[in-house]
Amino acid sequence: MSDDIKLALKYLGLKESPNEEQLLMVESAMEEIKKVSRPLFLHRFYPLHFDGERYYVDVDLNLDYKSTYGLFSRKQSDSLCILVSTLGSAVDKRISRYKDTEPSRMVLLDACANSLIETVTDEYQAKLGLKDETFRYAPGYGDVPLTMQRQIFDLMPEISKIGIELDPCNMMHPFKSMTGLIGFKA
Amino acid sequence: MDIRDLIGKKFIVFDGGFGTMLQKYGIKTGVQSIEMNTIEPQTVQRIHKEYLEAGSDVITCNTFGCDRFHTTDKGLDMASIVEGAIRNAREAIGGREDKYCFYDIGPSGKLLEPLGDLSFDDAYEVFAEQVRLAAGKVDGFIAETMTDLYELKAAILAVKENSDLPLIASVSFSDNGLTLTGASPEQMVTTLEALGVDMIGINCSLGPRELMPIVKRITAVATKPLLVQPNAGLPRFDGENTFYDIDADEYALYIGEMIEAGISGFGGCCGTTPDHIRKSIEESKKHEFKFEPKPYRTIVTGTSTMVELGGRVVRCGERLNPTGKPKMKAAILEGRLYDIVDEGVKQIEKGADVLDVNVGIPNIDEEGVMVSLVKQLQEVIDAPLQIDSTDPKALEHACRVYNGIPLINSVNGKQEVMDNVFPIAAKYGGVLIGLCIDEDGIPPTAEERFKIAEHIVEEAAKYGIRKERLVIDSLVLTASAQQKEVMETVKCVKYVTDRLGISTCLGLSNVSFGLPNRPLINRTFIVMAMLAGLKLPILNPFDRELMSAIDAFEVLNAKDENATDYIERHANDVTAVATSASASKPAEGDAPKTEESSGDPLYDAIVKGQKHKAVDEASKLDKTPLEIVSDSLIPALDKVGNDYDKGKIFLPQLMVSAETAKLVFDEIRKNIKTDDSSAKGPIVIATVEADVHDIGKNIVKVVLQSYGFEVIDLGKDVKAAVICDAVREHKPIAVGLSALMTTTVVYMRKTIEALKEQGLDVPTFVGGAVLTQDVADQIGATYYAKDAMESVRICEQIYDEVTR
Repeated sequence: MSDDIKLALKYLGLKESPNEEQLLMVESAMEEIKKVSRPLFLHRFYPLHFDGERYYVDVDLNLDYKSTYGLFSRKQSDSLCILVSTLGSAVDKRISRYKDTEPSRMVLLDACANSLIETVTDEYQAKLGLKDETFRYAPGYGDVPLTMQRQIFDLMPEISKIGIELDPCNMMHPFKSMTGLIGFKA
Repeated sequence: MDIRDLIGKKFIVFDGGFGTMLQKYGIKTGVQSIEMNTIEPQTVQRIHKEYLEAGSDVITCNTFGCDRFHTTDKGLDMASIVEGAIRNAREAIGGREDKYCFYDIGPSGKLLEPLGDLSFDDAYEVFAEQVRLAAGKVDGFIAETMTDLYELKAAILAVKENSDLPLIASVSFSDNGLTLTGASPEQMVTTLEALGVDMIGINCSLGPRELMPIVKRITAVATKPLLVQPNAGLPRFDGENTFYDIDADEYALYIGEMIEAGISGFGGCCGTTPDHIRKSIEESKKHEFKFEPKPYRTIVTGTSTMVELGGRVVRCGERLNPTGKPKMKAAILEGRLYDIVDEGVKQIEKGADVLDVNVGIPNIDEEGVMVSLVKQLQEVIDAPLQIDSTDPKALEHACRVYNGIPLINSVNGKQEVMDNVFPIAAKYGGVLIGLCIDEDGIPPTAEERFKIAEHIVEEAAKYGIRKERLVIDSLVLTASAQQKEVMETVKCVKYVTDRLGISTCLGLSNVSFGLPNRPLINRTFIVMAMLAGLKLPILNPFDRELMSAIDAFEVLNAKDENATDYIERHANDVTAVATSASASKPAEGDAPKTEESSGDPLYDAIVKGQKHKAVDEASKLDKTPLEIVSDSLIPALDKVGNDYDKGKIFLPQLMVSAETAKLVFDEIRKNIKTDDSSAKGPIVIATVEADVHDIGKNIVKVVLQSYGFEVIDLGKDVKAAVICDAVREHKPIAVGLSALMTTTVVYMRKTIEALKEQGLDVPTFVGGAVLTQDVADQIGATYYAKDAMESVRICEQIYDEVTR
């Protein structure tokens, strides 16, 4: 079973191993999502400094949080990678297409898209070959506020060129988009 | 001299990158490029002059992104920046008449509905206010780096409606060869040419090497000249700065190659300098200018699809039309447009290429309904639409908000209709259906109808509408009433095809009216008409035999090469006939599940999510609705709910069962029309303000409905006041609120507070990804529902208390 299917099944809340029918449902949904998705990626590297108390970068991005401290200190990171990815707007559209006609299919597609954005971003990240890389941390989790998105978008105006936009609530559109912070050793 | 007189006759040379040059001259970080127009006008003028000296014919004002979002919203004065930018360009040009200054329109940086929240009308206004400031002061407009053809359409209309200056529209493509919203180069060409720009362009995002295949695809189909402005390679980041690494010499070689591929103008985008332009001009002198417009093709577009008329038979779904369809009529009158959208989706799934959209019911706001429906349809349907109305206002407004190049149904031989409708097609670039009827009605003979077709073609030409943008409808009469005239229709199809060389359409179903076994007549007639040349039948896509007749015809007429499509669609036909439905693959939408039989077929059908079977079984049962609910429906849902709780089945399976149960519920409710008491509730549900995630809320809705609750769904991003109003109006037994984001839980609390403040004593249950029992308690919710099944238990409990 491929990673994206495995993850989609997990998102769908299946606790037992899938039977053949369940697998077929997820596979057909994944196929539909893959047909309309157009993954695009961006990344930037920054030197990461540590002043004995907190981690910081030379640009306008606040990293002074417990979660990021834990993230970077565990692997003694000296560099930061900001990674941005999206599946493109057609995926959102395809998912919403089933909103009224077949909500069950919509949920299937939604789970598959969530799984796909994770797995394609993993693949992209793997190609970067970051040394001693940390877990990919997304703004909005733990004590890192979602407002960090705004800082990232201001820092990387090229994000708009891969079609992602931030709304006033700091939500990304298309929905199936990700930003992640990764610590690594240069 | 108007630059329009030069476009397509010689190379038009634009300037190169502006941001790169501003960086070179030390623009301070944090300062937007456009601010330099007033902060350091001499720097801006210096850059313009360098490009003019390098040989550029056209310089673009430093106004990229000079819209309200980047100026007014940031406390800057838009008018003075625009004025400064134009003055800088004008001063750099001096009095030279062979140099031109174009106002540069960039994308708004926001996504248009339905992908984002900027409406088409607002996007138009964002561009129009710039055009109004610049019109009369510049020599033309260029809208560039556009990644969404819908947004570009707003910009084009803004320029054309507020000035009569030359207009170039330029699009950016990603490395997958598509725009960000999924349009191909061919779709871009069709759209821009139909909207009447003077020159089409591509620029930015890619370097000349990567743009080459896209250039070739465009010049292979374009009827208008192409301007290309690549970046100096692909952007690279060194952690701090963006840089580009194709130097002027290499860049010029690529421009030379593009000239051979047929471009009519060049310039540069990010990373290019006056040197890149100078070297490119030198290179261009080694090549001959040749602009060869390609033959016009009749193409209509949807949000991300194109359909060409004239080759294969194109199937237009006829079912989005209230005439003779009481359900559709009721849906329009009651504002349930989503039901119509569902019908559209189904037609596409059955093989329609294009959908006819008609909302003509007397005494309704046809324009308003048509516009809403078109917007809702293009949210979910990629296929082109055929906008069908006799009201020119409805046609015009729908064409305006339409995301693409539509079919317009229709014009006819009546002078008044032509005078009203041709300007709409000319402006918005649609392909028009022309009916062979005039002031004297439908002529009986093919020859006379053909004369009307010819007249329509002549009149269209006066508006600059070429004949290929017309599709002639010879009008189908009823065989039972006017038997002899049926063949006249077919003859006229042949005349139009042979003598005018343009496509024809026919609304098929009329022919069989009043006769038994109508489908048999319809499919016999369509074959006759297709043989005469029919290209656009307007038909019922659910008529499988009819659709199959087209498939077969395309094979026999050698249009379906190697019978590829036919084989794909019909390879299993024989098996399907030979075996029973239950033995073949499960029907569409039915979740396949393996379960042992319980002895209650309705129970089994719901558990397995077999929608049609369940409805069938329910209608066969000799039981009261309440017995059906308590004996089969609830036990089946409980079983599925239990399996889901244990993780044996996953959410979509739970939902398919819920959808099935809802259908059964609707069915049995139909049988007790007057007795509405069988529905429990109502329950009001909504996703709270600022939150646009409605998947969770929709799941709760379906599951609650399946348990027999009446659910009033207020949608997503719903303000507290709206929810309070709904509570007052519907007096629900409970209110369900959903929120996905930590940031929107605040609005959930506000909503609960508002309900309490306004004295609306109704229990609330809340759910969503970030909700926990603790959060629910903190914000004052009555209940926390961890999932849809929990919502059911809560609502059942409330219902029991209320009815006790």
